[in-house]
Amino acid sequence: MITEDALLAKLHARTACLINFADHRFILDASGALVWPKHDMVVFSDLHFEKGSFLSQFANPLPRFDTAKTITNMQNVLQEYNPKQVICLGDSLHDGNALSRMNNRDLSDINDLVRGVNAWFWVLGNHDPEIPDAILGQSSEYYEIDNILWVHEPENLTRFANATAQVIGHFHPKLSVKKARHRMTGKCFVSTENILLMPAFGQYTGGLWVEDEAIQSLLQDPYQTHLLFNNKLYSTGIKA
Amino acid sequence: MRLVTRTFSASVKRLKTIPVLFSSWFEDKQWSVRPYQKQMVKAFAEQRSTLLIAPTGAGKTLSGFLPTLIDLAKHPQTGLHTIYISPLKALTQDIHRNLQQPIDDMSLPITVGARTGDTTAYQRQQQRKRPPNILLITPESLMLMLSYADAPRIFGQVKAIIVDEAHSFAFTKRGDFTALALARLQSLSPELVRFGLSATVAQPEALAAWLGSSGEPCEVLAVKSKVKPKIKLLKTKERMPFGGYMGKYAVKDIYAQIATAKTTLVFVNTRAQAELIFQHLWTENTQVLPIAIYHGSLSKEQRQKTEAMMASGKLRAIVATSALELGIDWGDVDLVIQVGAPKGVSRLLQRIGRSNHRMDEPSQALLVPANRFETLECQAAINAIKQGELDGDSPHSGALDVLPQYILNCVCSQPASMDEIYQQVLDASPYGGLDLQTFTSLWQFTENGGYALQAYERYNRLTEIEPGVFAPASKRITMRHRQNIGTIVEAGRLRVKRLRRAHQGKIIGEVEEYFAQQLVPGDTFFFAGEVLRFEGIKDMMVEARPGKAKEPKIPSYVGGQMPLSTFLADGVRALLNEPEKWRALPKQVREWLDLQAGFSLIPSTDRVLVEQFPFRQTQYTLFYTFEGRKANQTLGMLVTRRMEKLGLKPLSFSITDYGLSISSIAVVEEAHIPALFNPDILGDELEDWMLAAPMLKRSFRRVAVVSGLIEQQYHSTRKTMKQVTFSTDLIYDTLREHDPDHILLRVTREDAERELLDLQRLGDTLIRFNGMFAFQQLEKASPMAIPIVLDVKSEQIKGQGAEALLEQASLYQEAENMLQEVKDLLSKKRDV
Repeated sequence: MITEDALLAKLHARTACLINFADHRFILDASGALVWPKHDMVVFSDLHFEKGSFLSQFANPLPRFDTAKTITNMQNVLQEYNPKQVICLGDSLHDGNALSRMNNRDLSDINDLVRGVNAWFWVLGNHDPEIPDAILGQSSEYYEIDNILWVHEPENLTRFANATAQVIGHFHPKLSVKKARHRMTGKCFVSTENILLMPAFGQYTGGLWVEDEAIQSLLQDPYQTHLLFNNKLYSTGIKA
Repeated sequence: MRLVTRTFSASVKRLKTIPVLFSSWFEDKQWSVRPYQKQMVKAFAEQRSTLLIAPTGAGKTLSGFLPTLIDLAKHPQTGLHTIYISPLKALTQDIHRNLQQPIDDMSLPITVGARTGDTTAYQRQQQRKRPPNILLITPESLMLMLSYADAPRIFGQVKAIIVDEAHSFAFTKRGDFTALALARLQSLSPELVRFGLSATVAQPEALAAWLGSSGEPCEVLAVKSKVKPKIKLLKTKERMPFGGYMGKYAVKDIYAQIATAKTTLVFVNTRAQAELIFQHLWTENTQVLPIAIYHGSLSKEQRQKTEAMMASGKLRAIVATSALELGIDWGDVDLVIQVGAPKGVSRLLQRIGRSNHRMDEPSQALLVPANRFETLECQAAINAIKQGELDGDSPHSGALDVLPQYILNCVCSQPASMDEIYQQVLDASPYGGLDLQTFTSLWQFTENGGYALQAYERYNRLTEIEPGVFAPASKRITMRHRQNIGTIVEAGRLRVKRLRRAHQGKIIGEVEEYFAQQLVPGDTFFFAGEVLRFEGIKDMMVEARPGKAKEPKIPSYVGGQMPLSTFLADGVRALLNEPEKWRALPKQVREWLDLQAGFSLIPSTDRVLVEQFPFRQTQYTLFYTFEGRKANQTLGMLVTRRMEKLGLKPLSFSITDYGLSISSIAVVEEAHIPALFNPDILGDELEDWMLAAPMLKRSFRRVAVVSGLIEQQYHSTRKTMKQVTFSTDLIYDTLREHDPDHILLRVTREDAERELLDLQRLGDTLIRFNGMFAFQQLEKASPMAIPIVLDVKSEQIKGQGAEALLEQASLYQEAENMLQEVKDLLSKKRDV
């Protein structure tokens, strides 16, 4: 885990921020990753590996460096926090054929990351209903750790014995803050008492406005947002 | 002026005079044949390409067609004889009607056909099989026809080409594109005569050079207008605002003018303004006069309805944007009102020309400035028109991104060698000076995408079928090319559906994609003359319901903004420096100038005025340079760069023709100015800063689309601009990283330098005014600064300034409280 001094430095540089969620303390990282010190765990969401090569099949001439770039960003986060466990919250692969388009180097880099920690969990998402065997680590529809459910799309918590809160991916929330006639836009974390929406981590992932109906219908309670902007992180207030 | 000399073919005997059939038709109409119409007939007979410059109402279009009609009456033929190119689709319809009249009246054996993006597939097929004698076409459709294998057969016998409204697009990318099409046509039919039709322009020779081939400018036939338009400034009892661009204060006066005139055209500068003025005119409309609205975002049906009502004289007034500026003849308009700054002398004349289509009587026009600053601009424009001065685009060397498209277009028609096409390109006047090396890189890009992109199969667009001869690599390449011909890169548009119930309703027009994307459900905005409430975006459509609110929450959408001409900025500076001329200005404006002089200073010619003041939670610094938009834009990029270095936390800058306004977190002080407004800022890493700016990405987007790197149309559906932007931004970054010398990056830089930057002029200014500034630290915006700081178009800077704003907005209390707990957790981890 990250040292106290390193964390303090990050807090000062505003590249990390602390929050209280479901009676646990978490570190939000400006990269879009979530860190759970109690379990020495780092969480990524919506990596969408091979989205570039997927889109370029349809007349979108995109450079195909997105997977490599996403991996590099993950490496940086893991190096900084040095966790024992990693969870990826679904849509790690952009589509069912992603692996067949992935180059060998990227695949082995991903597996190196997995080998570098004690446990790696792939939550399955709508884009990746299964994780091919060539990719190491274990996978499941969801994981329950303490009183928190880790899942791709929101679940009805009454179905679960212990869960009182859930951390989900899927929505790629983004936010625009207007201040003094200027508009700052970026991906964001969204949290209520029992829901935490993760920003998408993948290089080519777009976003959905927090104000969008799909997100708003989830957030019955007052919610808090943390904006990722210019490689920094800003708590942007609580909305009822 | 050099004569165009070409060999006569012996068989051609062309009439040099007007035949009886035609002169009696003129008599029947109680028209007289004008001397320049005779000259055009003679020019055609002698095969002299000619640019006809004449004011509106001079029968310009008929003059262009007269030689063709006479020639075809004398020598009836099958197949294409004349091509008429118009920049506007709507214009071709109008011309078609007007042309059919003499043909029917005189029973001439002539067929006419129009072809635009709206022509049906069946009609297109027919036109290729049996081309009409006269084809009315847009540049894009012409280029498309030139891409077919049968182009030599269709175009081989063309005798004349008429380019209408040549002034309106000659010196743009579309003009470069058209010049290439002309060069191609000439190579297919060497004896072709080129005619250009144009309104009065500042540089007739440059336009004649554009119309001709390289080194062979056309002749110029200029018709002088006998009368000058009568232009007045509005005299109002209302209070004129210091800022704002809408002109709402004058609605009562405008209405009074409409009520006394027969038919009025009310021109405004943006679509938002059109909606607003229209809305308020109807609030005033106690006499229930038929007043309509017309702008490019309204649906085609709605526009056609308005056009038809106007043509039949059922309307008293139309509130219109530049969409109504060109061509279409409305007949009986007797007053033109321009609301807002005229933006440029030539544009103003074009608009005024929409009234009173008889060339011997003066047009009447009324200028309504939207704020006091704009009064200066209106007065400068009136002065310029009195002196007969004109502004306008200047010729430039041809845009390079058009060439890959042209290369592909040529080989789609017939396989060709690089040298063959290079020679043709040199014939097009904007490309006369193009060097072989540059052309070779563009050719290579067309062939395989260039170094960083050649791994992608889709960029292998040409294949060598025999040594040195190239053809499209596949049928798909040809198809994709044909779907994407043109140089107009549209801002993405979304259709607007006015809901009645559930998701059902009528399409009433289009709005810009980026405008739609910033709307949140519940937001209200003006559209098509009413307040609409935004519901959401579904199936690429903006769904909205009629709203109950009177005033919309989202004040405007930016659609259809125009840059001002630099020329008028000079006029304004001159006016400011000659107080004796202020007497011509309304009293309110004189008071405003006195106020400015008392509160701050009037900008002078020997020092640059710099004002600094707080405004709406940030700090503003204004540099009144009067050096034009491009120089100010460049200055903006460099000064904000320097400010970022000095820790002044710049947030954004916006430009006008008069100056540069920078918003920042920190207060800029007099002591900072010598470091900011200093020639040595030119030595900063301009290149890097510029290449990373959003502005350059926008340029690259256009270059990428025009050069065929990325397509707007795919499988005949249009991509959203968001998709295009997403892709081009990523490609841009990749090219910068992996292939920094890529030809398209060079083209982008050149594009930006031409359209956005003016280093030369800025450099001169910085040296001339080095240390020569007058700094005014003010408590609030000066009267002159108000319209500038109220302008919303700004370039944002993603740096310390924006971060500082977010920090202000940020809540850290909770995080501080938690710190100890997390520290405990971390130390426990380490102990384990």
